[in-house]
Amino acid sequence: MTPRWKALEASLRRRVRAELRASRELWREYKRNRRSFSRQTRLEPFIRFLVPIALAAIALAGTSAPALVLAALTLYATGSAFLRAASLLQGLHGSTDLNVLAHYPCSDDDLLRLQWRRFHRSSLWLLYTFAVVYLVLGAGGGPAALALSAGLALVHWLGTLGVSAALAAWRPAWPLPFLGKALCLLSAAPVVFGKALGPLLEGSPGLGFLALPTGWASFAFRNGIVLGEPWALAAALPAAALAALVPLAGRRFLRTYSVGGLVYPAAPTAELILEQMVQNEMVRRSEYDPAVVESPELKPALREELRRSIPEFMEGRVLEGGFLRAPDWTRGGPLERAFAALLSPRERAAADFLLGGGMSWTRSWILSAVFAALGSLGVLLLGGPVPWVVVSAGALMALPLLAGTWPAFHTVPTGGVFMPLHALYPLGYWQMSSLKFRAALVRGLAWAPLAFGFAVLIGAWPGTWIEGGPVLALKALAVYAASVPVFAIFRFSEGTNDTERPGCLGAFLFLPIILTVLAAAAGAILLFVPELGFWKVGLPLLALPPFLAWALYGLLYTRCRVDLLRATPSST
Amino acid sequence: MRIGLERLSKSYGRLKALDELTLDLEPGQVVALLGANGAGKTTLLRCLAGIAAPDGGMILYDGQVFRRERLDLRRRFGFLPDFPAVYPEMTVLRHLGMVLRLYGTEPAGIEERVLRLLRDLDLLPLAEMPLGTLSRGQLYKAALATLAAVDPELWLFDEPFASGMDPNGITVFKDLARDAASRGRTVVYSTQLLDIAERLSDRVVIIDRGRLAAFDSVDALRAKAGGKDGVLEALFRRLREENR
Repeated sequence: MTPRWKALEASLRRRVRAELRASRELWREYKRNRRSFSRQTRLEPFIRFLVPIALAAIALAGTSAPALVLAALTLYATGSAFLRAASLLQGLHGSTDLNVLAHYPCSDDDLLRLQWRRFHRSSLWLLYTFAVVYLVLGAGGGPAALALSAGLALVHWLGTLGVSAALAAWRPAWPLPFLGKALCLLSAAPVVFGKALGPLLEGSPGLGFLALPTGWASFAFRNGIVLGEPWALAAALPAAALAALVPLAGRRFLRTYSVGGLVYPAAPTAELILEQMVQNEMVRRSEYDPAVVESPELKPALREELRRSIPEFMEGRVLEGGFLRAPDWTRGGPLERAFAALLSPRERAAADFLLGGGMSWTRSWILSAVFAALGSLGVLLLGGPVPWVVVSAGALMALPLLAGTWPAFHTVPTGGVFMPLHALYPLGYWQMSSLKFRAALVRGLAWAPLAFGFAVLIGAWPGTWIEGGPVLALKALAVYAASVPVFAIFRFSEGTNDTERPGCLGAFLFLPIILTVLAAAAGAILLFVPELGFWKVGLPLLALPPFLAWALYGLLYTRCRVDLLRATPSST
Repeated sequence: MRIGLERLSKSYGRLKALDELTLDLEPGQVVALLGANGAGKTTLLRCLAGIAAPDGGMILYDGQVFRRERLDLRRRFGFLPDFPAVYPEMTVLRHLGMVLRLYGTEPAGIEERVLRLLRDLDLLPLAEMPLGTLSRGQLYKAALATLAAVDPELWLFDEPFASGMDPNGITVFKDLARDAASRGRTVVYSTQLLDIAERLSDRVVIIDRGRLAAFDSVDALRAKAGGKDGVLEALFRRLREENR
């Protein structure tokens, strides 16, 4: 089955246009509508396009040995296999196509074949990835090596496709998207930690590649072509044999795949409502007496009591007025309490809305602080106190600053477009910004001891190049403070159409904002390179332009120069 | 609340959604926004709510120029789009309480008002259900109850009759709109249902490709058509013929 009937589409298009041309007014309207149609820009294809280019550039520059580039490629291929499998399963069980086509007379086999074809077609970029990397690495070995490289790229692609299909067919319950993303991220490690891993990989026979089926082709390439050991090319045979998993997985899907009925969320039934009410009442009573949750006889008794008196019960609850009371933030953690202490009652109402009625900053802060501390230490131990390792460890250390979300900035669908949730309610740019700034202040102060601890640690690390660790922490805090207004702009911008079709006027309006953000970035760089002698310039550059950019964006926002609407949902 | 539009324009690329629209709506009226699909009704409502940014012209509320940052003016109106924007995990009551506090609604008698609305809209048993578990019609009713509990001076609705509300919900909506207008509130709603618009509204605004095609009271339009019913339908037929 193919969802497009191109001949019919073309013929209809011709006839529709002929009819439109007959009326000048209709033709003009048609042209206007065509022009206002905007195409969406997607980031993912660019990343896919850039990965092999980046790996090839690293190989050409000679900053990383071929073994490290191949290790990165293997991990990336493994991650991609997981992601491709997840994408196939998504296509088969939860895609938009399925939601549309399941309403029409299509058999399960038709739907399977459609998704199966898409799976193959949309995996072609992996072949491009392998081809670019192998051809660049094998370019120095003459025409024979080039031909072998091209062959191995094809083998690697077929093998990865086989692994991917097998994962989807036989291991659908695995957390495929998570594993895929984690492995893709991990693929940067061999390049980033080249200094530590390089000697290990260079001196080894490369058996580590054989641990992953997606590494068999890499092993054949590394040992067979780069190191000139022809026997190693034999590893390409099992790698190619992995391709046999594709038809096997296809046959399994043909036997087992069934769309079944589409599941729509049901409107609440009387029983569901009752159950929810019982649950709510249990929670409410447990606040006064925690022992209530332990009591096994209470729940049935409560259910019976509520069944008899739902209307009266609910009327009582409304008249009680509990729903009108502001949430009690004094019962939250230290971060919540500190934030609440900085707000007036009206601001608390606004913050309550912006935070979606719930705030658990302290818990997520502690979790991310522990993860950041362990991660930073691990990175430092592995990479040593060289600049980029310290920067990576520092970036990890900044994780607690990101803890906590503002769900009111998420977009919701409305009339074919998306708008931020806060757009419907009386909340202003300056007011929301002020709340975000105060939250940032609380988070920054909570983070300061961590930053100073980390700075002292790397300042005292054996062989370090850093002097005066605490000064570095102060600089990091300055960068954080400067980033707050810039991130506030991004947050607001995510719910608007400011970057969709900006045009000349848009570019003119945004130019000062972009320039001030760039100035702040330059200030941040100058702050960390005192030998340039510009630190006196760096700090003012870091201190003023971000707030200027925020104020300029605020003028555009509040003077109604952007719509609180966008064609696609925000990424948060 | 008196609404003034002065040469209000809004474009999406080269498509003019609103083309120098000038209008003056007095308070205490139910106003229907009518027009073909894509005529600019939703864009007008979004501009009135501060969501869409006009390219030209201005909006005046009680003679004051409206901008998105005028929170004092924004607290005087409420907008209910085709699909209400709410936190799905929040219960109906929690949502009501949060929005009422956000608008700074006077607390006196608010519980009774909320209770009456929940009862009228058959929402009482759903009051402690998470909004995300409600059907589309139930969700719209919950949002309507919230807006009516806030009771702003200007009520804006996008296609309330295509919201999935049951017959009782629609009846309650009409009653609430009439009651609000009788108390000096202004109710502006868009719809495609001409017979309802004819019966419910004091005035109708017909928009045709972003331009004002007609603006009058239903009675005046009917008088012009010789006292016949179905005057709006006839008007639309004529507009369509003229555009062909």
